[in-house]
Amino acid sequence: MKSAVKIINAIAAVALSAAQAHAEVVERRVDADARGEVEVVNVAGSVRISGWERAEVHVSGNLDNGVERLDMLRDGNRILIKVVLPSDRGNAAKANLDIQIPRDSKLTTNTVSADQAILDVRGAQRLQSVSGDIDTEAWDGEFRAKSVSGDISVQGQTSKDKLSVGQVRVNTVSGDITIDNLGNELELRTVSGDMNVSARNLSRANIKTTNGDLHLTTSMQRDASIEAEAINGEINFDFDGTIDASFDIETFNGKIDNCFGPKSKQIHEHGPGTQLRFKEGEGHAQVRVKTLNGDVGLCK
Amino acid sequence: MSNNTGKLDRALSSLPRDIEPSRDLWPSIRANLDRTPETTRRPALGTTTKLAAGFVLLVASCATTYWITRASMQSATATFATTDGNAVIAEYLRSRAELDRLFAERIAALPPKTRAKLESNLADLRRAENEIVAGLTRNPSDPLLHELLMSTYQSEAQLLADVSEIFAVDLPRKKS
Repeated sequence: MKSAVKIINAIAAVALSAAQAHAEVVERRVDADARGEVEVVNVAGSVRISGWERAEVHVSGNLDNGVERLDMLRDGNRILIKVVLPSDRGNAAKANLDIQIPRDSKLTTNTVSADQAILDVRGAQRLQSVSGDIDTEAWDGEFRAKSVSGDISVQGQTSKDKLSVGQVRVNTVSGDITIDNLGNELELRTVSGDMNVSARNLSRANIKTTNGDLHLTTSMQRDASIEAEAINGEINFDFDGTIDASFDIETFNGKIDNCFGPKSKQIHEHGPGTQLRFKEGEGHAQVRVKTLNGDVGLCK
Repeated sequence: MSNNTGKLDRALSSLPRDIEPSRDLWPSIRANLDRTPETTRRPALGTTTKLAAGFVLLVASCATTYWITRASMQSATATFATTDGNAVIAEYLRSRAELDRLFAERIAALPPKTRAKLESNLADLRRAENEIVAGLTRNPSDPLLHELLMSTYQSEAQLLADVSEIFAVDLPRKKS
């Protein structure tokens, strides 16, 4: 048995070194605008992007032998980095790219199965993937991320005394969404991904899920508006800080669990539908939750 | 109710028909357009995207109208909103076979696992729609069900539009 394992390991090692031997190593550099735009397109493999202080874009990495070429084109203040594959090839050859861009660049990415890891890029981000995961940090710029089955993880990086990132929009089909330390405005959509969100000082949130669960931990601005909707997913809120909000919770078949005290009531004497309306403090902020079958939990 | 309608009519008629900007905005818009060169040639919007995106907007607008009017006028407007929403939904359902065909065509180049996930999530949305419709047959005037149905159709249209948009990356085509 042990010798069989050794043989398999040896074959794997030979296959790996053969594959590496076929990989083309690339390195490119181009001057860039400190606040320009960078777009990265890669079908498979990986993309690591980090912000730096230089007004320059640097790309290094390796391309499988199935990759046709790596394009790096500059047009005004925009730079396109694109892994080009032969159009007639059925399987997606991989490219692993390590990219440095000016820290305040506006970044756009587009990948299929390639994972994206992004660090210290402080301009607006517009990220898209089919099945690759996206792991990034968000600063003060506008933030958009979209994926089909890849998970999206966003870490807010603003300082404690400052309101967090502006507008954040994240959309997945089945990928999970993890958001930490972001605030102000959130728009989140998923069909079956689970959402775990920790926000500070939310002013507006609009969250929709079909089957995925939502767990939101947040504090709210005085006139905040938080809306969440689910079909089968569970919605759970944990509120931090002083709560001064009106709550309007309604579910067709789900249950409502409320740590604030007031109990939910049946909408119709005979038939489905449960509603919970109450005020905490003076009721300045608005929290509105609707579900079909999903349970709702409110706590502080 | 009629008192509310009167108030709303008076408030609407008091709104100005148009608002002049405080200064001429065109020169700065023009300058911005000139400063934005196209580095990458974006694929033209496909039929699926246009169709599905159109429905996303229509359904969103209906849902918004419904929500606003529901908040101020309660049940009497539900009939209006439902009729309005039904027209959008009927139009959407008429086009759905074509959207499905384009969707299947679009996802054919994806890895089988991703394709299966997309198909299963689309099926989840349709199961949810069927469940809500079944609920509505038993509780036809339930405003929550109307709202959730509209929203679920919007999610479905959004999914179809997203699949089209995500093809901005040139996927390798399988050899025939």
